[in-house]
This record gives sequence, structure tokens and C-alpha cells, in this order.
Amino acid sequence: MTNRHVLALALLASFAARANADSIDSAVPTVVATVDAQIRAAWAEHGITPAPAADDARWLRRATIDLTGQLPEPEHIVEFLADKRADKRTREIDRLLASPAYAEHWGTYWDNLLIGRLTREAFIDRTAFQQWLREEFDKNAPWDQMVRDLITAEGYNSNRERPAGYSETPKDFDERFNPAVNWFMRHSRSIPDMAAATSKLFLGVQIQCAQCHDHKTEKWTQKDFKQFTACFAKTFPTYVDRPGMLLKVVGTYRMELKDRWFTPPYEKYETLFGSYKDYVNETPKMLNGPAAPSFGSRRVALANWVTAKDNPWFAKAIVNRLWGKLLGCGFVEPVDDFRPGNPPLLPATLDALADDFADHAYDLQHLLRVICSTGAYGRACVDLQRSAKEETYWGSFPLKALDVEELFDAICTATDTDDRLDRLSKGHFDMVRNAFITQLVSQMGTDDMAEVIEQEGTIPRSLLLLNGTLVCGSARLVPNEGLGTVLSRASDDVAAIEQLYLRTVSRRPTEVELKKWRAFLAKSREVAHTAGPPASTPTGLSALGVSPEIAHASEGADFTELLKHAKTGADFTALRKLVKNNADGALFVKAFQAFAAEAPFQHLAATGGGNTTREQAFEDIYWALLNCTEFLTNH
Amino acid sequence: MNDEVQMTKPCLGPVARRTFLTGGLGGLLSLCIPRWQAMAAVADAKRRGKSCILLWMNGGPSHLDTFDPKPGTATGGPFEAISTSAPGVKICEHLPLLAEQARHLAIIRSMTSKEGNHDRGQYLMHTGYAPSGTLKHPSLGSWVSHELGDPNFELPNFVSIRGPSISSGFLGVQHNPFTVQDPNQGVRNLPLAKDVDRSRFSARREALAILQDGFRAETHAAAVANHDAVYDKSVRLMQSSLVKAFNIKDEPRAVQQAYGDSDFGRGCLMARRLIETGVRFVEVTLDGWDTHIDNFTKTTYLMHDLDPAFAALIRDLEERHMLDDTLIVWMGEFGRTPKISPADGRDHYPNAWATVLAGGGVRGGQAFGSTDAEGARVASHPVTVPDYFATIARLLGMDPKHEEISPVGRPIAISDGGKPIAALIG
Repeated sequence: MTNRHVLALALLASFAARANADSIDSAVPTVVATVDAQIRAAWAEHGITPAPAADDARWLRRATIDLTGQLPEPEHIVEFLADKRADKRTREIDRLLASPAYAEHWGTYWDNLLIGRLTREAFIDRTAFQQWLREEFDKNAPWDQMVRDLITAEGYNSNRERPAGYSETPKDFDERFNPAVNWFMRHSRSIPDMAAATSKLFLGVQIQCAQCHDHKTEKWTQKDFKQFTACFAKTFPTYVDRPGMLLKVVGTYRMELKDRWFTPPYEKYETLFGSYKDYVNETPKMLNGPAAPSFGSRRVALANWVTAKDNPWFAKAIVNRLWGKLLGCGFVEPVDDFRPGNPPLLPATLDALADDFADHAYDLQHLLRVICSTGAYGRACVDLQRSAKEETYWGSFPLKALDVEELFDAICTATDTDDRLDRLSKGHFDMVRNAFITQLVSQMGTDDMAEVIEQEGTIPRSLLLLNGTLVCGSARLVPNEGLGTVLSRASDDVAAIEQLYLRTVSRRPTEVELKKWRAFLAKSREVAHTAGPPASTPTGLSALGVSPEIAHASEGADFTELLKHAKTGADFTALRKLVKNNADGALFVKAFQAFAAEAPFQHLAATGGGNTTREQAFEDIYWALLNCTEFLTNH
Repeated sequence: MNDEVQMTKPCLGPVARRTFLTGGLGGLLSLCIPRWQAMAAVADAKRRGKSCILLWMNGGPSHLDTFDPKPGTATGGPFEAISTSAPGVKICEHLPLLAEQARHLAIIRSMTSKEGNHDRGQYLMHTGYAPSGTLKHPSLGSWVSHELGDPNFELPNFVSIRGPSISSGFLGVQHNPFTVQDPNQGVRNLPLAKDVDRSRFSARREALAILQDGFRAETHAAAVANHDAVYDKSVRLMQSSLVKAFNIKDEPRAVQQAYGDSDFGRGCLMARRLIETGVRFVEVTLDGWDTHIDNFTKTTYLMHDLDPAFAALIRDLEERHMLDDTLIVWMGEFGRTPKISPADGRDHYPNAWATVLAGGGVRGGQAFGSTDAEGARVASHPVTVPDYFATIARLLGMDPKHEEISPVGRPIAISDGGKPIAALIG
């Protein structure tokens, strides 16, 4: 069972309790009618013929991916299609919002935005932060409270215990453990970044340009930037363990973050605190707002101002961000760039949504329920054939590329590969998944902080889907998994094709498609057996042993050199013990991730496989379903 | 995959195409190049403009322990300095092969910047700009791809070997780095999977076309055509003879050995093959320079990889008459503190540090600028990042002031207002 499964089970208990309580409020929120009327008026005014309503199967796939990052399960699709109740979509939204995958999905989304996919920092306890986010989303913590907790967080970044003999653990270690501080730790060596991220993520206001120059057309000046950044100038971390830099333990530095009465010794410890220098003598001040009081925490004052009901941006920023994420573009675009020179589309609608969100105590699930209940969200995905510059006012649903996490999960669940990877990695599916995603992101050479989406233009990505081990391996016939299960249970070819469709594109095939597939299956073909590309990691028995260079390594052997020889899981287990410091640790993690992103998938790609014309033809259909635009996008 | 998408025919440009047809890829890439062919290659390179190889020293290499040695001082560390083929210029004793090639090197010892954090420094030294959340600046490789690359070239114009690079920013995905993680493997996922032969691959694409046609009819979405187009492009790459440029194993053993037995060396060899085939910008990463602890042992190992690779690259390009048209840039995100910490390490140091330029019309055989006796402050001819980028742009035949309009409407120039440094240009 994977860690995610364990978490899922734990969350499932609370989910079941909620569902049984029958307290689900299945009514459509009232603000939806207002929003719908305003958007319909915009369509009429601009001569837009909106797309027809999306059918049930397509709507279900869309909402499931948007709210949980997962594909709907085939059995559930069938049930949902058969459900005759008028309010079934409203019920479905509630079901999805209450599901464990909801917390997982939104936790990942915010983790990527707040810390970044490729960020690896000894100051950050990534696991603790992810867990914290998941729990916040699971209990549906109000957005203002979550933002306040992030901005004002104090305490220890990690609750990891040191091995005996290294250093003492403070007495208040457990009470003062606060994973939310990891966000500050992400930027602790550059507080201007902290200020810029706060403003951008929570207010949708971009002030960072003013770090270097007064903005030519917009209002923020360098002075504004400095004063805003000064809100963080008396907050800084210290090492829990001393002497910090010499600790011969890999992993996370235990740090304590605190608001203090003084600024950090930025001259003495320039590497750590150099970024504070330009801000320590500024008066801390909000954007367009009051100065922070001279006494008390500057960050508390900042959080009060950010989350105040009369803050001009706070509610709108998150409404716009989520509307943009679900409907393809926000009222303001880019979603985090609110400024006078970039006015929103349909400002009254944005206001209505923001007011409703604030009136509902910043309830994120309520906001998502509203967005998913609108008429705009229910449009079919059809290109309205207008020029790129012309607004369509959400007259049709956009075609949205899946995020890398969504893509990986979709391929795995559509083919039962998640279970196989979990067995292959002896229960470390999470690690394999992270490794694969990290490799994918770095192979695409993309920016780590941004949401990495399918980029139509990347060749490495399409080669990965066309020939890569994940897709080609997942589509192979193995008994009792994926295609094996489908073929053994289906009464005939049509039933099998229907199952493959439900697993991947979450709908039944049309008559036209079935006709084409019958012809495809009827074509005569040779059974293909080729060796394929050689595996880069050892297979068979040699995969179990320790490579000689590592087994016979001398006492003082250079770690970097040894790492070059690591090819098997046993090699990495042996090498882990030789890690002497954090630099070694970082290299180890990198090498190990590369291994974990490779070895299990090479195994998949070499195992099983169809032996008859029919079996191979079905593998090809599966492969095509995993490669088609309909599968790779949300629409 | 479908007939609706107009695919441009693969085109290498008139001159390059002729070379490949007449000379053949294998011939061109072997060590024994017939003279007429070598000359033709030079003529091609001249006509097609310049290329660039960036040797990226990830983590921030110590200037004092590489190209700005201060032996015998409190900050100098244990390494000796050795004389080079450039009169009066000394470099670290662990770079003996490079010392022989120093007549080609312009060592800049007076770099100065303000970003002492890895992320920010890496962004700055790839793009020439400090990070600013709104705007993603294009990295140098993307500028080169955009300005000098042939859009119809079968290979990507910007290849990054052994590590992620910085993206193309607002210049668009087609100028993103094409990443080769492992030079021993070359391009990932090019060969057909196990049990898939050519005819089965065609069957798979037929199956895919059934789905794509259906979805196109349903949505009329441009994304379907784009998806098909990039798949076509990928299949063309699978079938292109030019991908051989990624196979360093095709090189004679002696050539492979010259670059040293390291992934970085193999990356440099791949870089040379790619440039020869027409790729405009190749970045090769050597990671591990973040030497907070045990600086001298680690730097020794790193130079052990660096020295043969960098030196062989220069020699190889020179022998192929490609050095004048190929600029080699050696740099990391910053230098390291002159002060040696109790952990025998050096920390991040952007105030004064060193980079190296070679080939591509650089005035070689010199050390430009200097630091004080401790290597702590720039003593003469400070070189700012904008000036440095302007110099590189000029060397590559690009106008440093050339601007593209970013999505926020602000024009962004290749260099952020810098001026090329005349003394570095030959």
C-alpha cells in the first residue's frame, strides 16, 4: 500500500463520516444565478453564440480532474451516466470536494506555487510542508486563516529527530513544530522574494519590478517595495543544532523561525542574511496602506492587513486565480497581475464572486462549488472560431493541458500501473512518482516555480509518450493488470474497447469509432517481437547485487566518484551510509532520483507483452488512447 | 499523421544541406577530415554565423582555486599557480592541459555582480537579468536560437546537456532548451519500444489518427493540430540522420579519450558534434562547485574533469577550423569567498570573481581585469553582467541592444544596457 493510499484511507474515514451525516448541502449557491445572468448578458452584447452544454461524461471527467487531479473511475462513470436525478452534478461536486484526492490535489498545487517543484533546500522540510497543506485542505481551512498562518508562521521547520549523540533536541520541539514556516525558509535568504511572493500569490499584485526601478506606467515605487519588504526584516531563522554547518547528518537542517525585536546580523553572516541589508532601516508599510505599528510583530500586522475584509485585492485575487485555473482564463490575465493598467473583464462578476466568497467566510470549497455550478463551467469544449484577440467571455470550455502530476497519475490509474510500481518499489510508489515527475520537469527544461503544463511544442515530451517506458510499458499486456484485466473480463471486443475508453477518455466510444476499431482489429498483421532499446539499469539477478566498485570501495574513497558507479538499488543502499555531509547528500538524492525515475519503468517496459495479433492490436489501441489529445487534456 | 497540418519540409538551409549530402555525416564527423571538406565546413560556418558552447559550472566555482590564483596568500589555499601559453598569465596547477591552450583564453578576473543566492545567480548569469516574478527573461541559449537558429533545422537549436537550464521565457517554447540528461544515452526515447517494429509503429499511428480525427471533429481545437504537428516533428527526429550527432560512441576512441573519462567530458564531445551538425547553442553542465565544505578536495576532482574536457574542446574545434566561429563561455553563478571557513570551505561570493571566454573571435591569451591581493575586490576594469552579456552578444554577431517585446509590453534587450568590452574582442 502506498503512502498516498495510507493517507487516503485515513482521510476516507472522515469522508465517510461526513457523507453519512447526510449534511451535504446540495443546493446550488445563490450567487451562481447572478454570475450566469451577467455572463449571458456579455454573450448577447458581444454577439457570441455559446457552445452547447457539455454532456454528462465529459462534464464528469472535467470536474473530477479540476477538483481532484484524478480521472473518474470507470464504475463511477457508468453509475453517474445512469443516474436520473436532476441535481446529480451538484451532488457530484460535493462528493468530489469531500474526497481525499481533493486535499491531495490542492495541497500539491499550492506546494508547487509556494515552494516550487525542483526546489531542494536543506532548510526546507518538504514532506512536513506538503503534509501540512494537505491537512489544511482536508479540513477546508478558511483561506484567510491559511494565508495568515503562512505569513505569520513561527516555530521549528521540521520535527525530525537527530540520531542519538549528535545534538540535543529542544524541550519544546514538538509543541513549536510548525511546518508552515517552511514557506518563509524557502525565501529566507532573499527577503525581497518573500515580499514579492506574498504580494503576488495572495493579492495578485506584482511589486517585484519595483525592486530595481520605479515602474514607468504603474504606481509602485522602489520606496513602496522597500517598505513592504521591511515587514519581513525582523523575522529570521536560526539553527537548532550547533555547529549547524558541520552537522554530519543528511537531510534537513532543523531551523527555528521567529519574529524578533532586532534585525539579523547581516554583515557578520552575509550568506544567510545579506538580503536583509537594504530593508532594515525602512519603515514597514503596507501597499497603499498603513505603516506597521512600532511595537509587536510586523508580520502579524501584515497578515491583518492582507486578510482584512476591506483589503482591495485579497478576495479577488484567489477568486480570479481559481476561476482562471478552472475556466482557462481569469477576469484578470495573467491571473496574478492586478493593476490599473490591466482592468478585469466583467468587473461586476468578479466583485460578485469575491463578495460572496468573503461572505462565506473565505470557504474555498464553497468558491469551487460556485465556479463549477456556473453555466460557463458547463459549456462543451468547442472552438468558437473567433480570432485570438476576441474575447469569448467563457462561451466555451477551454482545452487545458494536464499538469505533470495529473498526467502521470492519469497514465498510472488508467492502466493499473500505480499498483505495479508500488509492488516493484516495495511500497515506495510516492518516491518513484516524485522521481519521475522531477525528471520530467527537468527534462522539459522548464521553470520550477511555474505550473508546468503540457507544452505543445516540446519534442522530449512527445518522444516520452511515443516511445518512453512509462506509456509503452503501461500499455503492455500483463495478467490481472490494466489490459490483462480488461481482456479477461470483457465478453467481446466491443466490451473491451468500451472499458479501455472508460479508463482513459472517461466516456463510451461512439458507433463511428467502434466501426473503425473493428476494421483496425480485423486487419491482418504480423506479431512483432523486437528487443527494444537496451536498459540503462541492470535487470535480472545483477540488479540485486552491489557493484564491485562500491562493494570494494576504500575507506577514504571520494563520494562523487563512487556515486558514478551506482547502478542498482543495493548500490544506493550501500552508498547512503557513506554520505558525510550535505553536499554529498544533495548529489546522492539527485543520483538516486535519476535511478528511481528509470529502473522501475524499464522493468515495466520489458515485462509481459501480447503474443497474438489480437493482443498486440489491443495494446496499440491502449497506447493510442494514452497518446491522444483527448486523454492528455482536460476539456 | 494528418493532412490538414502543413508541415514545413526539413530544411538545413542551402549550404548546410549540400555539405551533408555530399560529405555525408560520418565523413564530416570523423577525425580525418579531407581538407576540401574541412574548408567547406569553415565556409558554411562563416556564412551561417556563429555558435556558442556554454560550460556551466553549477554551484559557483572558486575563482581563487581556478583562474585567479593567489598562491602563498592567506586566502589562496594550497594550490600552486602554473605558467601558461599566454605570457604572464598563470592559472591553477590542476589545469595543466588548459594552460597549454591559454593562448586562446580570455580570462576575465574582474566579474562583479550582486546575486549571492543560487537560484537568483543562476537566473542572472543565464539571462543577464535579475529575476523578476512577472517577466521570464529568455536565457542566452534561447536568444541565440531565436536570433541565429534556422527554424526548420531538424535538431533543436538550443541543447542543454546534463542539467536543466533556464527557459526561453517569453520567446516561446520552440526556443526552450532541449535537455539531454545523460551524454552516455543521448536523446531519450528515440528508439522504438520493445516489440514495436516499424510496421507496428505505423499501425499505432493509424490508431492514434482515429482518435485525433474524432476529437478534432468534436472540438475544432487548434491544440489537436498542434499536438499532431509536434508528434510529426518528433517522428521526423526519430528518423533523422542528424541525430547521430548525439552518439558520441561514433567518435574514434582517441577522440573520446582526449575529452577525459567523465560525463562532463562526454558532454563536451557531444557539444562539439552538435555544433558541427548545425546546433547553435549547447550548454554543458558540470555540477558540484558549491563547496561550502572541503573545498580543495572537491575542486581538485572537478578540475580533474574540467581540464581535459575544456582543453580537448578547444583543440578539437581548432583542428576542425571551427574555433573562430564557436564561442566557448566558462562560468558559474558567482565566485567563492576568499576567506576559507573552518570547514575548509568557501561560501558564495558575487563581489569579485572570474569567467573565461575562448574562440569565437575572442582576443585570447590574456587575463582581463584583476582582483586585489586577497581576491576579494575588483582592482581594475570591473565587468558587470550587462557588459559581459553585451560582449558575448557582439562576439556572436548579435546586436546587444536588440529588443523583443515581452508579454507585459516592455521591450527587453539581449543586454540590460551594457556595452561590449573592446579589449576582449579580437
